[in-house]
Amino acid sequence: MIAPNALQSAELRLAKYYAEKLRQTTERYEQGGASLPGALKFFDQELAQIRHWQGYIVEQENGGAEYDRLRIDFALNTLVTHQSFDQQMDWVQPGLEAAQRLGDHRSESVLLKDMSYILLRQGDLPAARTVAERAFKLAQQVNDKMLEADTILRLGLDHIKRWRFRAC
Amino acid sequence: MAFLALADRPQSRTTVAALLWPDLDEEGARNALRSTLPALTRLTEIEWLETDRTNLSINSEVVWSDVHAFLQALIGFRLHAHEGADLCVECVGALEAATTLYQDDFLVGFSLADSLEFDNWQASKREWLHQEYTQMLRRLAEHYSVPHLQSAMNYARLWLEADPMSESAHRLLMRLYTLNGQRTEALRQYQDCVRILDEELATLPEDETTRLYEMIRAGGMPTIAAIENPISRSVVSVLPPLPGLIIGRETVLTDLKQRLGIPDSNQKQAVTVIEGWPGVGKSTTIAALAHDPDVWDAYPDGVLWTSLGETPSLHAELMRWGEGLRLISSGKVPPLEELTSQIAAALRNRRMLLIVDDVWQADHFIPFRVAGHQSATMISSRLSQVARVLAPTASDVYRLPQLSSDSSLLLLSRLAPQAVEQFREAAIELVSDLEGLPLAIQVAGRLLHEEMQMGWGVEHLIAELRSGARLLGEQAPSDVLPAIAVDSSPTIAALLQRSTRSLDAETLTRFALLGLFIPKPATFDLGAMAALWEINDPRPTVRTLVNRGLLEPLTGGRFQMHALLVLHAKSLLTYPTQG
Repeated sequence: MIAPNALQSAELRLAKYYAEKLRQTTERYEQGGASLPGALKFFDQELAQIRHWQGYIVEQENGGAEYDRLRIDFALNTLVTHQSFDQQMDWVQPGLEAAQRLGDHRSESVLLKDMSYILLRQGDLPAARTVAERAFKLAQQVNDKMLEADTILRLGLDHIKRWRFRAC
Repeated sequence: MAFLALADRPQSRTTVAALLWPDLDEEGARNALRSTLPALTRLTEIEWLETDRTNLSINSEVVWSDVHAFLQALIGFRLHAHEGADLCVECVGALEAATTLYQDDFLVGFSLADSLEFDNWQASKREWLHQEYTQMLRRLAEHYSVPHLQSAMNYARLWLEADPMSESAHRLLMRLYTLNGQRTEALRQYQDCVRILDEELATLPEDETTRLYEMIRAGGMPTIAAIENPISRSVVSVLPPLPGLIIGRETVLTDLKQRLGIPDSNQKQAVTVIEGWPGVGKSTTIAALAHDPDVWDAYPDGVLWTSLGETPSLHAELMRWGEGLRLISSGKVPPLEELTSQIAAALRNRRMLLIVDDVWQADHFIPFRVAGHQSATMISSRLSQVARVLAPTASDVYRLPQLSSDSSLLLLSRLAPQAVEQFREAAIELVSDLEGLPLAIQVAGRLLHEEMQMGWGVEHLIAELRSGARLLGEQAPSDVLPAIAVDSSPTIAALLQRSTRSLDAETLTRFALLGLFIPKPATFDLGAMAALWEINDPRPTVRTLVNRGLLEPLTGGRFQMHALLVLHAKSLLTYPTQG
């Protein structure tokens, strides 16, 4: 038998471990090339544990800043190859709320940009545009040029999609 | 009473209560037993029942039971270990008395309502006793075939009556009729054999039977020496009861028989060590193997079986083998080493299968390393380290797999047919969650059956079983346990604790923490364990857990833990709730 606080610490350690592994592997996945097969294999192997620990972190309502940081970490790496848009949204939403609570505008901007993309793919074009504009303003606010560029690209995708719809 | 009469030692009240009142919880069942005992003891003034706070037993001084007398005769006969068809006068008398006692199958017409546990126990005992009965008839028929053909034919007919599909019995009767000048009867016997096999099994007789028929039809005369006798060179140890229910193990049994040189003796491996998760069915499989006719054919000098457990009495177990081989003269008990030497010498030129089940320490096996070059040894252990030490080479270790999804569902449907029929999807999910572990499926099946018998819905129970909440506290069915554990009727949790209770405190804590991983599938890497345990090098602990059979290495530096063990680990994490 293990004391409740020691148990909670152990759970937090595992959640951190899987969040960090997810971050590292997502980077390898995004690099593509030779890193891709290994990254995809990792996702296959650890999918169940990662989902479990993301869910655990979201459920800890009074966990404080440390848990909010992990909510953001999981939201920034939503296992896009293995999850539906609805599932990705379930990860992004609590991460976004955590970023707002912590006043982490950069993470908030990134997550809004990701949310915009999900909304776009779900077909909700007005919401996607609104969210992307919020993301862009925040990117300007934190003066992150790469993020601004990335968000503009996302807005551009939005316009292309609208244009395609009109063309139909 | 029947259960107690058949046991050769006192039985715990918990065991008896669980068998008779399986639908009650432990306390309820014990209360029911407590209130029933006075009524039973009032039946007669004779003090036939011996009780204390924990155990019950029949006073064998005042109670005579036909089954007990039958078994006494059987044991007496086996201790003589006669070779060939010849029997001594004492054995003939014992066998004739025993076959007279066998008036019908065990407890025929009697059953307990709603106790699958009792039904299974009854069925396995019935099958076992029936098998012993037919073998006794065979021995008597063979014995009398030389001097008293008429007596031999009487016993052969009784044998056939008890086992109408036994071609050996048909062949023996055909030979005896021919030798007695009743050629037409012999040919008619063959026609009966053809008809019965066709009606019951839709199959043709074996080539051997047809060849015998052709020979008799052509006017040939079978000799007495030609009487087949595949097992009459005496199975010298009392075997474990035949498992009541064994499903999905056809391939495993074929693999294991191949290792025993069946059918190709060139492929025989002198030693095979079966390892596998707790509850995967090692003892059940090995018991099925011990009863397999192909094994008896390949090892005509018999099968010596023992089950050791955690704290075995090595001397007592080896004495059983020595007694079976008639090496022990009354009143003289040789020391362990001397006994081992004597048995090894006796087995030197024999073709026997030696089975040592449930080994917990490699050292425990040393006295049983007695097989000659014609024999084979089969060992089982849940501990990987023990398996590796006992196996001469890595290829001598056989890892018993879990049941396939289809076999798991089939097993569940045999145990709880209505539940599986009505809630098929939920049943499929349940067996998937139980990851093909027969012990868990057996427990779940029995619970579902009981619930259905009560007319209640089973959705809630299935949910409880899937979460493991209900499973760990349930008693394990006695017919799927190692023989050594039968008397104690342990819960699933207690069974699993046998694997963990000897871990040191730190390792036990680390094992418990593995319960934090989700169970389906509980696979993880060294890094996860290092993070969980807050240590740099988790390998020494991992090594211990692998050696204890609690973790299984996979490829790529990953490890797996069975769902039931994750539940057990999880149960070790939490403080018991008060009240």
